[in-house]
Amino acid sequence: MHCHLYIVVVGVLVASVSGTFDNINRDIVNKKIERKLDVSTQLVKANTKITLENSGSGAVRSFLLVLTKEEQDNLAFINAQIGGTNLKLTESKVQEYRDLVFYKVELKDALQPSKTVNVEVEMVFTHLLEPYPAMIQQGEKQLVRYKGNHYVLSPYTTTTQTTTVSLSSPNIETYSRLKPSAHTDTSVTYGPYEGVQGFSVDPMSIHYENNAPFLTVSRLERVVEVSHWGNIAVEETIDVLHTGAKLKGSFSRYDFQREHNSYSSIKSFKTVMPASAKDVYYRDEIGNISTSHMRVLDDAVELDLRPRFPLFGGWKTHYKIGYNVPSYEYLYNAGDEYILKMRILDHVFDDVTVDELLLKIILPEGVRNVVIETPYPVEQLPDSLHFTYLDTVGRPVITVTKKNLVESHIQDFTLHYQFPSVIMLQEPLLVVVAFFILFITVILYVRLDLTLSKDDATEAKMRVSSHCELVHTHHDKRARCYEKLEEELQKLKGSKDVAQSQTSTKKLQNSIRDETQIINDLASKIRLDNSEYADRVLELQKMDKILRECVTQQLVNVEKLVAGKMSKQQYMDTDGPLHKKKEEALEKIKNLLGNI
Amino acid sequence: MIGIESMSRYVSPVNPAIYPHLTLVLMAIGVFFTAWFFVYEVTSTKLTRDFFKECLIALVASVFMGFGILFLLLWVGIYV
Repeated sequence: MHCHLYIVVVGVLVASVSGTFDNINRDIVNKKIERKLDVSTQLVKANTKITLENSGSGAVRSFLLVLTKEEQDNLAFINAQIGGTNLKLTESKVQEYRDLVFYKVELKDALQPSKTVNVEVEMVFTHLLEPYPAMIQQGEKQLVRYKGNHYVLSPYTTTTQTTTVSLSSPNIETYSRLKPSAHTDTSVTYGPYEGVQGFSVDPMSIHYENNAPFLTVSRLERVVEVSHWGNIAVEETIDVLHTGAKLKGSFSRYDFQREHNSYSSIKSFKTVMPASAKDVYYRDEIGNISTSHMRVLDDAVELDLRPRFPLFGGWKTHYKIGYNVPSYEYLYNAGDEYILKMRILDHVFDDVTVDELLLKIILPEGVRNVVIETPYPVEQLPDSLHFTYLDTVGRPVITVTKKNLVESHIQDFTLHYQFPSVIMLQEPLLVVVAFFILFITVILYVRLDLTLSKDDATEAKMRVSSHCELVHTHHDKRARCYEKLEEELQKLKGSKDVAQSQTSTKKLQNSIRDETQIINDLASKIRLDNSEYADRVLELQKMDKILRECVTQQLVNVEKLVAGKMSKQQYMDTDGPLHKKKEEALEKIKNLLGNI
Repeated sequence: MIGIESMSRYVSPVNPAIYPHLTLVLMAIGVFFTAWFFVYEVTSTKLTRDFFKECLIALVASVFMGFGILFLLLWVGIYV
């Protein structure tokens, strides 16, 4: 549907450029008009209920709404509906009334002769209320003037019409009177007026007290950063201007604190954020503003913002507000196809008027085929790139802008894009590669040899230590073999299977022999540089030989015992000294190893 | 183009709730291997150094550190 509207709007623009004119259908009569003008805030909200009648003989498919140039300049939002369904609205022109702006409303079902239909038209105007006087002192109340038309401006004859103006206070300085009219408390009623001709104008003027916050967001930059790691970060940079009556004279903080009589100034306002918003921050040029209150409600997060100073007429402030929302709230996908559905504009404060909105959507790197759809026309600016952590080619940024927005513009945009999820691995791999390059640099650095002359003594020492290290390694291997041999011995005592035991002990004995040979070779190598260490290694070998002989003897004894060639007593007698000898050798080996 | 009706809500491939745990585990392993690497580099001499072993430790260390750092960023709120 959004897509549909967007196309329609583009169609309108084309039509208005080509300069086609509409004609006023004299068959249409406004049977009854009820207009409600709400001027109790800084906005002018006009809600008009029109009962249209077709007094002609042919079916009517569309009718016209009309606005003055001034109204058109301040028009922020317009919508027409019949019983809840929105009608198609297009801007158009009429040849005879070049200075007026027309909107053509297309009825869903053609209006048959002598039938009636109820249409509800909603319009919101900004900056139409004029502070009068334009400058007031700190303690004074703010008066504003609304200038309009006693009659509802329409191209058609109206049978009967009434207008109700709701004000913010019962204090009215003056108001124009066109009989019948009445003033009751906070509202002024005009009409009913009978038989009003088309394009009738009778100036209306109401001068009344309005202390509602006249806060205008002169510029709002909304940045939405999508991360596929499960987060959407929203940051709004807001320029706020008090557009009410300007402050005359100086500001007295003393009076402001002591007397609570600053009517039109704004001390704080409330911003409503999505219910899932977390990590909320609110800061201005000099840091986080802590005098704010956040309330987490069931359906929203409310932030009560208090700028560092109260805002008087003509004063402005600038701040940032940001928060995170989880991606599952707004992001949808099917395979590599994604849709982001979020608000173009979110709530800033009640009855807001935004002069200029800039919406930036930052998408992850590697996103392709981006298409944005909006429920109302916006201007799309050229795409740009945004660089942040772990970026290579930059993230695509979709930028749209629109002027003059109100709360009715808080609607969703839909952004389609494609994103292969494999690209998500790019970011961790970047860090991995960075670390690996660091390690490789270290590996290369330690291999750099910048010495001019070779230092033989150091070289020799290095060789000896490297060989000694190898001796340790090989001795450890040998020691493990001995341990295994011991295990085999115990096993043999239990299983009494000599044949099987012999195969495995043979293998172990062989590897012990190999390791011993290697250590011998190392000893001769060490001797080339340092005979002292070589002797120690040889001593080690000697001890090892004793150990080996003991173990071999033990093995033979056990085999004999198992085969029954030796009595248990004999075995015990021979094994005792062998065991003792073995322990001694092991002790010496331990000491020797500490010195190598 | 696929409509939003036929799509499902997008959730991160890794549950954001376990980012702190992932960070700590991966970083612990990563720091261990990094420390091992540097200890090995400064204690070994040119005669005892083994290029293959160095590369293996470096690779393991960089993989764990890489993913650890990524989840650390995500944990602290830098949603890359």
